[in-house]
Amino acid sequence: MEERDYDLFDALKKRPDKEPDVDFSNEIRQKLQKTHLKKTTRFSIATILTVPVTLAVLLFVFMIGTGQSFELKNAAQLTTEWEKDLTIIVCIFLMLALSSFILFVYFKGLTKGRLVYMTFSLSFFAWIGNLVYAEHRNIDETIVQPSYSESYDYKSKRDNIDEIQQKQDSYLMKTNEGGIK
Amino acid sequence: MHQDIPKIEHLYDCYHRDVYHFALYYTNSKQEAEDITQETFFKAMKQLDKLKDNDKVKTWLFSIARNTAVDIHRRQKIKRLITEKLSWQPVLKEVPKPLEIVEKNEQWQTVQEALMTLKSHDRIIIICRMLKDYTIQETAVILGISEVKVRVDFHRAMARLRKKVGRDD
Repeated sequence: MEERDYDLFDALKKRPDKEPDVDFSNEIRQKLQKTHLKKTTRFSIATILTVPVTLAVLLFVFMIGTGQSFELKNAAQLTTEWEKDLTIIVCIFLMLALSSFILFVYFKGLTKGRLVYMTFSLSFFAWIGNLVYAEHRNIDETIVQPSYSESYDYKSKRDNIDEIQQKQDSYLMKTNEGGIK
Repeated sequence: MHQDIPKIEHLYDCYHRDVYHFALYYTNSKQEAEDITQETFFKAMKQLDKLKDNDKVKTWLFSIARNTAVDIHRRQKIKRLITEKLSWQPVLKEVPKPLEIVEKNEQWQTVQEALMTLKSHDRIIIICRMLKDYTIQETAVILGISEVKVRVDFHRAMARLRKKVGRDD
């Protein structure tokens, strides 16, 4: 390092406004003391939310990966043994990937990471909820009957429809005969 | 061996001036330097139980200060940019007082302005090595890079700074 470089930085080291305000320093010190006394709770809302969600997610992936407790619809059920094995392998892989991700985020311990994790967990919750809802709702679709109204005159309408039908038939007959000729 | 966790007040008394200097050199703004100092110590207080080695408290604190400085300075920059865009005209700086005009010509001001034109990484390396006189090892820990990289980057940063202040012969 050249001597003149040191001269440059010596000048900067001696800048006149270098020192912090005494009032500012005292204020921060007091704030730190007060906050330090308050710091007793270690469980934040994020922790309370994320721990059960993690357990739920792991349980869900484990169930899907091994037991298939969530009865899937017939269309989604796999037919061959090979496909089932493949599914289990994929699910185990997914479970490991997920666990690694969760551990990574936890050990990083960043607020941003926690936020990402919470979003991720909530989307998982939505997915599970949607699956459970889809499995347990009544899927027997009711046969749609024509609506009935007392004010509607079905008999006269039926006669009108028959009349129109007859007209159409006779017209078709005529056109067909004309075509043949 | 488990060592006693240092008290935040003690850390504050020991290092708040250093953190403030670092922040002031990094931002060249008194207000931002105060914000950085405050946030650094609050962050440190929250993470104090994670500190395993008391001998590394200085570098640990400065790595927090460095991250905080980068975050706050970036935030302020965006805020300034948005204000400028919304008002459709550049934000006018305060008219300097006669004393400030005299100071403007001072050497420290020239160096500080040149420092501000450098990239964040280069600026931090120069502050650590030249202004706070930290060792290469300490700088490497603060920046989270290898010692070799600190050496290389420092020389490059110094070359850029010399160029800015017109001493690149």
